[in-house]
Amino acid sequence: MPTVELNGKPYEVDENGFLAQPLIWNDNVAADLATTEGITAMTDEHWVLVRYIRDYYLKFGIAPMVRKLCKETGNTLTHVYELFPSGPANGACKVAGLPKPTGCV
Amino acid sequence: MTVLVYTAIALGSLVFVIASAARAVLYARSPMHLRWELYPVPHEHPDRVSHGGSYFEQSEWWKQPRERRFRGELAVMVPEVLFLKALREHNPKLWRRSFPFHGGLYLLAGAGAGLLVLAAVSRLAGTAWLDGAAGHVARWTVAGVGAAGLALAVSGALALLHRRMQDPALRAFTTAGDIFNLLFFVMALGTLGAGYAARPPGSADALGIAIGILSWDASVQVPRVLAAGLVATAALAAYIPLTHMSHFIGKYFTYHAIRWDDAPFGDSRKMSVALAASLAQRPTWAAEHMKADGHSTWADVVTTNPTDEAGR
Amino acid sequence: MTRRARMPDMARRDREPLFRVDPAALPPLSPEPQAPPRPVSPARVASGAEGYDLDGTRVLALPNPTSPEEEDALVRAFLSGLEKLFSRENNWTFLQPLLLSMEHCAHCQTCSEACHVFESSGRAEIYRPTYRSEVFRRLYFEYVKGGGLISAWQHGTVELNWPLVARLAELAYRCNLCRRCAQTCPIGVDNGLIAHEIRKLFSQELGIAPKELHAAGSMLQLKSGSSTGMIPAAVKDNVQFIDEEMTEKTGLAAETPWDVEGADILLIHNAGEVLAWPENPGAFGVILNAAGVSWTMSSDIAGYDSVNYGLWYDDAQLARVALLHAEIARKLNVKKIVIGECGHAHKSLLVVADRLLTGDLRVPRESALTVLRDIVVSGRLRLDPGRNDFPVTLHDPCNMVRLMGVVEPQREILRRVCPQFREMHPHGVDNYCCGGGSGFAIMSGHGFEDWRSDVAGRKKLQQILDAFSDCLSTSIPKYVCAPCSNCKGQIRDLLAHHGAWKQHRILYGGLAELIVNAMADVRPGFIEWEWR
Ligand code: SF4
Ligand code: SF4
Repeated sequence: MPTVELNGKPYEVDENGFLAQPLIWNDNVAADLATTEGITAMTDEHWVLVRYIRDYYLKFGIAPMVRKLCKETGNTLTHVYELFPSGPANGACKVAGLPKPTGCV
Repeated sequence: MTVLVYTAIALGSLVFVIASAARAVLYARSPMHLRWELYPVPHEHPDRVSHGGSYFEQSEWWKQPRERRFRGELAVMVPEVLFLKALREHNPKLWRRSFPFHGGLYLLAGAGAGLLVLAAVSRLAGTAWLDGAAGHVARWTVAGVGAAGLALAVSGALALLHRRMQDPALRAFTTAGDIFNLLFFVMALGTLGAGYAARPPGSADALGIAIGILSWDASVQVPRVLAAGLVATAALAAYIPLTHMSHFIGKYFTYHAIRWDDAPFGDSRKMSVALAASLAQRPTWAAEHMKADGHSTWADVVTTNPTDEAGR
Repeated sequence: MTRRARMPDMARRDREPLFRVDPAALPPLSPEPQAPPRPVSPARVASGAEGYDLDGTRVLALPNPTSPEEEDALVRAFLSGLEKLFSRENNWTFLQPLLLSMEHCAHCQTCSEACHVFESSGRAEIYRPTYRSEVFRRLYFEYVKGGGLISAWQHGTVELNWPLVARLAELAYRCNLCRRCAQTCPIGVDNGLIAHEIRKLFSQELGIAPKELHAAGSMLQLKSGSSTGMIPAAVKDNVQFIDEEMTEKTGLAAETPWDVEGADILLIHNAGEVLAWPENPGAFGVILNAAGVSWTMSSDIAGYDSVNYGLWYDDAQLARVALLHAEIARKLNVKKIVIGECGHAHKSLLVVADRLLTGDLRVPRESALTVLRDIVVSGRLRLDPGRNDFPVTLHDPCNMVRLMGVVEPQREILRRVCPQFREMHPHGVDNYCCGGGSGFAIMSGHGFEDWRSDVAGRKKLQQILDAFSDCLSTSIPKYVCAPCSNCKGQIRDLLAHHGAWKQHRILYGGLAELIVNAMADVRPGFIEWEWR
């Protein structure tokens, strides 16, 4: 597993930049991971999405459906892309400390 | 000397036939493979052949009668075999060289077969008819076809050789064997043609030699160069099926047994038996998830869930 | 870095790639897209060169031997796998086609011209369909057929060492297995099959396969029921959400029947649809219910995920998953299995596995496209094509079309519901792969996602741009219909990578959505023109 330095801290990530150990995640980690998305400061809007994804993951072991995510956080998909340029799966889920989604998604 | 030529021809033909048959048998006896067809499949219903469709386009296809139109296959096979249609369509530059080469070989084979027929008829009915009108026409036709075949095959082989050397994409994949193969054609057939054209007056002609072989008549005088050409050509015939040039056999199988093999399992008894035999084989693949130890059969392997904690 | 890599380069011991994609040097696209800026993936920066590089990207986590002994052991394992590939007891499944493709290549290079990967790379030698095959063929003649001087002279040789083995493993994953090349080979040699067999060798003997396909793919599916990781409870929860959404959106009560014994149809979707494109399974529900069809979904392990990644790299995994699918249908006692809009699931369960299922596992299996076609043609739905009055083009998933012959049903539907339907060129059985074929669409890391958008998908992007050349303006929304999850994933990434949504308003989606969008009894605006 490669290691990256984010905000001066080393993180073990997979080759897509997803956290290797999802359980070490916390708000600071999220902010550090966000820099890889080009996000310098996490806003409330970012946090709403990230927290929803994180909670869903802890409950079901996978990332939530994108549509569900949008609906329940009151976002349009376009806006999610504006917040996380790589999109909900590759951007928001990464910041939320999930492993990379699998299967044909 | 004459007997040597006869022997070479007989041996060359024999090896050609046996090696070709052995190859065909090897492929034919391969175990039933999983389906891997490629559309269009020409024996489909004509309405579907036009766009490359299959019986899967019908709802509840298993309830419909299955189309298997030989005529459709012929409509693809004949132009393919005679005119190398696929090559013409997808690689016209090469086709302009390959088609004369293969066409020449077909003509040569035709002339050879014609000679054999004439010789056989002459053995049975005597040679007198050969001097009649019918005999002349037959002899000149065979000679003409043979000469054209030789000329085309040799020039085609030279053209192929030239292209192979000059086109970087072809050159990168050309082995010494590829060059040798083409040169072999040029030399053998070239010598044959030269020997025939330059044979001394009064010496045996093609038909004379053919009749000589059938009666194993050692008194026939085969001129030297012609003899060399015949021996080389016989060697060539024996050599072809031992190499990738046996693609005339391979092609039958790649088309019929793979590209066009869309036979559904249905309640085919033959396939059930074949599948049962294959499932009873014992694989030895070493990867952990295969769970193949050389004792388990394929049937065991595919009914094992490699993620079961309990193992097997 | 040399563009004209030669076969011996495969064995090179330096760490330079044999080829490196330079996006600026690739064949031009027209109109030239303005690719949006992307955040740099940090992992790419972090992972220095390790292992022997083929082309600057990689999909496999290959072992990294540190001593000659370790290298030797790996090469020996490769050789033992090579031998098994040509033995009846180990590879009866594909022995005949493989032998034929090994023995008869005439080195004429006709196939190269058909390959989109080769063409779109600017004709990089390593992506030539015959390059991979020929390296492998030489090993076959030398190590399986006994080799010797005559063989070396007839067939050529190539130095066998670990760098070559490592690069060959990667190279097997630079082919989409689309088999367009095989269609043009005058002899019927199948370079796609050869890539497929090389993948099998590595998976079945050395346990080497992309993790997206194996560990997080077929293994996860065999364990949890789906390669998405959705357990039965999760899928039911998600589908319930979809049902609610559909009811709200269409104004028709949508309800997905679960585990109904004796139903006419057991519908199996690619589970990725549920997560990433829920409007597709949603649309199926709307159509089937409106047409009064007796159908069900299954919440049994693997019964709700039609994927079968084994098709791309491993025969045992292929058979295991196919058996699970058939077993579920048998238990539910349904009349037939219908596979949703997923190409490789079609091919694996309807075609390839046809000669693997025995006895009462031989449940009839059909494509969703014929089921949809019948419903649309029957007049059971009130359709208003005027609602689909925007340009639509159709992508032909290789697995369903060239490799299975399902060509017309989707067109019959589109001709009825999409007044502005137009074909790509070429299309049907001569189509080009989207560039995501054989699992690429779900593979990423080390820049592979860029590779498949820049190289593998380039031809498809050009085809899409060409199909819409008369209406590229952003004022006209356009729809690429791709009735396959894997293709959709690739086309999504492809369009995003090249900014085609922003620049041209080109959206993509499935087939069922277009039908529902045209249903007169449904609230207008089923298709949402929003990037996803
Ligand atoms: S695979 Fe077929 S088309 Fe390609 S070089 Fe070999 S013979 Fe020619
Ligand atoms: S199968 Fe497709 S991707 Fe692979 S070599 Fe052939 S044409 Fe290229």
